[in-house]
Amino acid sequence: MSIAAVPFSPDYAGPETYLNSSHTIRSWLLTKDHKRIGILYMLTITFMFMIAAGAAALVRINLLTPKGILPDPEMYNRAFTIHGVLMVWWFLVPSIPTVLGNFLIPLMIGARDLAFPRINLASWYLFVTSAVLILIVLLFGGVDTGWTFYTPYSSMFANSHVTLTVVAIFINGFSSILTGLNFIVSIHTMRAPGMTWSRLPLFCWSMYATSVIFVLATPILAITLVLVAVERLLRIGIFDPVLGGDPVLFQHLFWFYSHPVVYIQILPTFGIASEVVTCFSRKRPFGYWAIAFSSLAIALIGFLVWAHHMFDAGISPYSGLVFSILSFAVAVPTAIKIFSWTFTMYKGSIALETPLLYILGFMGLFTMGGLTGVMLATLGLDMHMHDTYFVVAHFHYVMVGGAVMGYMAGIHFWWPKITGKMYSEFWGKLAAGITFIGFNLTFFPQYMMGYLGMPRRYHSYPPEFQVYHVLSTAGASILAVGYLLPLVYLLWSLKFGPESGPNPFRAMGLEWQTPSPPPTENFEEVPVITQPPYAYDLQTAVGSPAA
Amino acid sequence: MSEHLVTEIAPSLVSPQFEDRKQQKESATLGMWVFLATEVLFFGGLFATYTIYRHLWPTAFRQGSLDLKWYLGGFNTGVLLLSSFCMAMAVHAAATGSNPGIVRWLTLTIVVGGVFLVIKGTEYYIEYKEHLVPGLNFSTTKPDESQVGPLVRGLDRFEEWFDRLTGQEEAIQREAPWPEQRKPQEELFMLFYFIMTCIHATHMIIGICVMLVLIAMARRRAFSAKYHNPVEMFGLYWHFVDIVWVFLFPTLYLLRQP
Amino acid sequence: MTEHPREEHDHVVSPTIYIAVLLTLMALLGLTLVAAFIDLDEHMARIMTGWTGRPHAPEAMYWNMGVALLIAITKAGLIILFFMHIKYGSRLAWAFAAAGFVWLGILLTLTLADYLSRNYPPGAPKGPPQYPTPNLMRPEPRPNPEVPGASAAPIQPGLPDTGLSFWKNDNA
Repeated sequence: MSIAAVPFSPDYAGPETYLNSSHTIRSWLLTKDHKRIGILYMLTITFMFMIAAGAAALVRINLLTPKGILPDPEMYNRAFTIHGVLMVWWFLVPSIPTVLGNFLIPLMIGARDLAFPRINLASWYLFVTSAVLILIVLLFGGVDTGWTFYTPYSSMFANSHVTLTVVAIFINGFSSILTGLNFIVSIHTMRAPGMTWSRLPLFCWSMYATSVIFVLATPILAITLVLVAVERLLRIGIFDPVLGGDPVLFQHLFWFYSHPVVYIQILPTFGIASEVVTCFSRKRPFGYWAIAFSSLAIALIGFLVWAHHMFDAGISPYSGLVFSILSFAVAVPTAIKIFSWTFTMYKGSIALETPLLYILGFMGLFTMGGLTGVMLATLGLDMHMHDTYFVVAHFHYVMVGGAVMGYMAGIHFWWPKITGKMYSEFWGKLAAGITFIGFNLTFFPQYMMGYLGMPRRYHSYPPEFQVYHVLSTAGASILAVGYLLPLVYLLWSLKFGPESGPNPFRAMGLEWQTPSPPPTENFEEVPVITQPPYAYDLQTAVGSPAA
Repeated sequence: MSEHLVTEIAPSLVSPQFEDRKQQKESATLGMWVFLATEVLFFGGLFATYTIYRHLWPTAFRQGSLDLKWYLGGFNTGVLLLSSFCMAMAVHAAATGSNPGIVRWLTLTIVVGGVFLVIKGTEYYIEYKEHLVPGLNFSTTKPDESQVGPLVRGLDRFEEWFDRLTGQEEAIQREAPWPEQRKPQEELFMLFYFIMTCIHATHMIIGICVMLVLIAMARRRAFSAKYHNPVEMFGLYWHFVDIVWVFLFPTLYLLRQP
Repeated sequence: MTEHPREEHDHVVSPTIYIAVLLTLMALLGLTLVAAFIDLDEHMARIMTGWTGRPHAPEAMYWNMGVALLIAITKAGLIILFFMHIKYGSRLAWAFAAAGFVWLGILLTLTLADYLSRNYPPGAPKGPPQYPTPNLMRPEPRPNPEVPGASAAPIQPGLPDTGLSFWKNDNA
């Protein structure tokens, strides 16, 4: 974070902020400012999201007719694989942590920057490198194993670019680890005076839990993928039964990472929900410690449940039982959170503004996704539902209905903080509504056809499922409108939006007590925290706009 | 990690995001430990996989252990422990603010680490000669004496002598009644041996490169008793690499009882 | 900015401690080598058989493994405590040093729980897991439907050839 000399400008453009302190591309690409890095991440993941969404569109179009519209089943396989791979590793996992986490954690804890700004920038470069690699894979024909890379198909039989994809994910994982490391250290050591653990914003608690998963789960994925690549290049049976390898072991290792990764995607949304619900209900959170510790509990229990993805893969019935029970246990802290938010809203003075609309949508959709998750964790039921569209619908309710809705809520909530501009409330509400309707239309039919036995990852299907697929594809196009609208009106607000002022929502967090957009050093002097968090009942109009 | 390694030359300098030296040091230490926790799991994934396969194929894995040269591995363990000691002394020199001491002890660490890598390379060469490298020349038939070259022949003589001396011969006979044949799953063992030791050696090579940078910095008197985070943090890394070997050695070389 | 007080000076460990630790480590290395050449499993099986009166098979004993791992853990502990200064470090560093190992324990325990209980409940087939025979797992190359009779055509991806086929054939 160098304090660059700003050339004198004759036309004064307001106070110096992190956005206008320098304008060269070089100053952006070499920035160590956590806020600028957050913006860089936002641009990168939005780009990757659009490619992944394009792949999803291919999948949905193909499934319009029972025979499939794409000329080749192989092409369909590649489309759903690239959709899964890009959405998981290049959008959902980095989404909230790298964009909002990077931007907000130092502001929320009253620090000038994260503990390791250079590592932060390095992590973005690693991320971009991995993104370039995966785009190369895409250009040269893609990959067809599904995002799970199950062996021995991926290691011995697949005729697509598995190795390069695996290398890209390895580098991507490195980037995640560095981000997580930075957050953990910053939250421990960079808090401003008075920012005790009991005053830490709930968003930071959830980011802390997320970072713990980043740091402790990602290395296992890295080493597993190294093994797959070695097996593929050297043709040795690490996971190939012919030479004594065990494909089920790959699944154990893979899901040891990839189940917790679901919590990487959803925990940050929990943090955003806590911030948004308290702000727009103007109440303290119901059970601050319950919300904070349930985040940590989810991070821990999330590591104990992975084999519920493998109930019919040949694990022992005994361990299936254990994993099934442990999977039920993870529903407890999750439910605590939902109840806490509900009770926070109870008798609050609720303002139904865009961020809260998204969060309400999230709460409904996530609850459905979570409850169907409990169904799927039931050993006997899973035998029937495994690998059907029921599973697809379940995890889309959690990841899209949960994580993406939360991301949208967060972007809308902190957009004035990030840019200093206000978007149009009307269009915001409209987009939230369209997203909610489009989402349900897309994925609810998938629950139904999955329950009826439609398997996932199939290029063609019996004609009786067509009505569900057509409904689903129609919903997806509405959903696309719901995602494109914010892109338009948020960009529009950059140029034409009214100035937001430092605190348009009269929120209580520390991040709102500095100008919007914040100056490069975040705070003019080190803030000293004297109040409990979310003291909306004591609100003394801190930085609130003049009516 | 680069945060600490490419840090400012001026002594006692505190990076702008920190309030003071103490906060900087605390952050660096915690960051390094978190990084090492990820490394524990990175190697741990390999150890876990190895454990499962050892459970599935106990005999083949034991025979694999018998094919490794325990005395070379044991000697290397001693070498690495010594390099860890040198590193600890380098950190000690840094804490007392002696830049020449840092240069001296880090150079020694590099030399001792280099000895380790040379011996490791020799082992790889021996395994190549014995047709043990999976994916390259692994075969379930052991090569006969004329193929392996003088070095391996000499070591074989030594092993035979040692086994006679310690009375192991009989037990090994019992374990492998057809000494010229290997079990096919031994390839899996050798694969894990190579992956684990190669990743470990890669960590060492990275470490040696970083040490060269640190030596250059110490020559320019970049460190002082107040500011020596890079040396100290790197020390943690180097000791960790040592610890990995401390576990690799018994799991690969020593679990050989029939 | 944390709650716990900050020391003004770093803790400097005396070199004699380092030397003592090094000597202990070398001694432990010698010990583990010696232990590797004593068939503890067999000795312990004999002892246990005499002691309990029930037969104990050496194969069911894990003394050699246990001793080797115990010595390795002791060595690692010494390095962590003294060389890596965790003995003088904050509780936080302790926690993260431990976290890696605890999580590794989770991975190992739950994975092994599956493998060790493959024969549970009783009545399930005994012995090591039965895998399909090799020729089932490695099918012949798919027949090429385009060219009748040409059966050995490799499986080709369905997308048009971009001319840079080396990317495609990383499996070749």
